[in-house]
Amino acid sequence: MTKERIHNLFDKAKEIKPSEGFLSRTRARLYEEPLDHPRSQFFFESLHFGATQAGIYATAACAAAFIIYMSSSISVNEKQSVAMKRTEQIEDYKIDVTLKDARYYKEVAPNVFVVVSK
Amino acid sequence: MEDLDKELVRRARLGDKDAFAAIYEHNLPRIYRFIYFKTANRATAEEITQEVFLAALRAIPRYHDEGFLVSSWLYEIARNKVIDFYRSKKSDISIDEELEERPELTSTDFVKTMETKIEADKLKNLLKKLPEDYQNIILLRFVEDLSNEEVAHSLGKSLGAVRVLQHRALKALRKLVE
Repeated sequence: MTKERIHNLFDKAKEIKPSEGFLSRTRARLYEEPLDHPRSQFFFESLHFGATQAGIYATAACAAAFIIYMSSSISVNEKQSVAMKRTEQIEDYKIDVTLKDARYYKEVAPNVFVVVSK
Repeated sequence: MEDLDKELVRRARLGDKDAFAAIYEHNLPRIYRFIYFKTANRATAEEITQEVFLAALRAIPRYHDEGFLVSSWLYEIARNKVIDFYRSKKSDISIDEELEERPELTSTDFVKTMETKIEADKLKNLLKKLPEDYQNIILLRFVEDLSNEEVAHSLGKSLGAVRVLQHRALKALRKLVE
């Protein structure tokens, strides 16, 4: 019962509202109030906000470009390392190749000692 | 809602009065209500409410976003303005100025308004018998439906302190109603 009465008091309290007259009077008063915001300050703050936004976008673009560059560079390195391994294998085995193959190895691994079989 | 609140504050900080007017219109009823229950009458509540929004308009360029709705900040200003009001020892003005202030009311509206006012006055009289902290907690938590976090931010108290105060305030109010 007590709980119900308290809830009822809270509900009724929520119905308290300012009058329309007061609302419009105060709104008018707020519009009359001079601000500490001269136009130049407004301009500079807008500019500052714009610059901050531009900075964020530029940073994001740089980060994206860096990631793309890094991933492509990694993939190039991977290709190079595969070629290196092949060259090393060729060097290790000193394989016997035909003349036709020797031309190919000469291009791919010019320093490899190739024994051309007869 | 939170995003809109933030956007309005951002624009108001840059001197956009329309944005501040939107903040004002959205928050006026709750700030007025909070002050109404803590002061003597409608006229005083209106006077202090206007002071709160004028102070907020002047201070908004220095507003620091702490992740709460702007209403928490406005309650903080309102609480301080009410303290200032009692410190300045302004005398109580006679209670009933309803019709003088609101000539637009029809007789049906008037009866309804008076019923609300009578019930609201009951709560106001009960609140007067409670310590200030209890009054604030009851108004913000149960009349304005703020979360514990928002109440804590508005009153400058820890979350734990708000929970304890809330429990004690309700207990005290229940005792008065019984």
